[in-house]
Amino acid sequence: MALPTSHHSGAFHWLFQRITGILIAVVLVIHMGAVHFGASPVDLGSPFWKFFHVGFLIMLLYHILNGFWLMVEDYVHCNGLRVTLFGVAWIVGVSFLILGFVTLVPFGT
Amino acid sequence: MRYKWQTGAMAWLFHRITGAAVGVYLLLHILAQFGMKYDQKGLAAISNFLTHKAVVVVLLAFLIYHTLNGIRELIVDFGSGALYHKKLFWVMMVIGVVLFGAALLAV
Repeated sequence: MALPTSHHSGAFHWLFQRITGILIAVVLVIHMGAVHFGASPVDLGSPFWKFFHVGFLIMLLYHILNGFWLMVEDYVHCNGLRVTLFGVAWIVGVSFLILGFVTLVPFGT
Repeated sequence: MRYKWQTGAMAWLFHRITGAAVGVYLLLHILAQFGMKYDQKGLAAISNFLTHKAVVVVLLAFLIYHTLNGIRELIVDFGSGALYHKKLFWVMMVIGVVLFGAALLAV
């Protein structure tokens, strides 16, 4: 298995960490403002908020796990452990994507 | 790996620490919402932990730091921020303290 390292794949991940970071900053302010600090409750079961939160979920998981991977690249030098952690990141990503989907999609029903 | 006690390196290191902590919080937040939707009593403890006032205060501090330092990193990477990144750090921290104060009033 060819290990993903910053040597050949870093630029894409670096750029995407920034792009998702900007989007998350904007979406986070809306999420916090509407859902957690809002004066009146919003209908999270409406199509807009479902779409909004599914998008938020995907961007967040990418940003979190890509950040995790950037740290693995810096601190973990043992190839076996890197492969293991790469697998862990994918399992966490797919699991939480499913958890988020089954929570968000039928929300309000 | 060694870190020098300089503004840029510390800002970057703290970016990692806050990123890891907020990342774990948000994964637990997703898990807790799943637990509420499907009435999983076992996950209620997670929800109680996440909504504990001390935890929320730390989360807000970390989120504000991570976001503002992230904006600073963008300015350094894509603008000419490398020339004034230290000043920029302290400008961001002043903005952060104001935002944090406002957030505390709303919690």
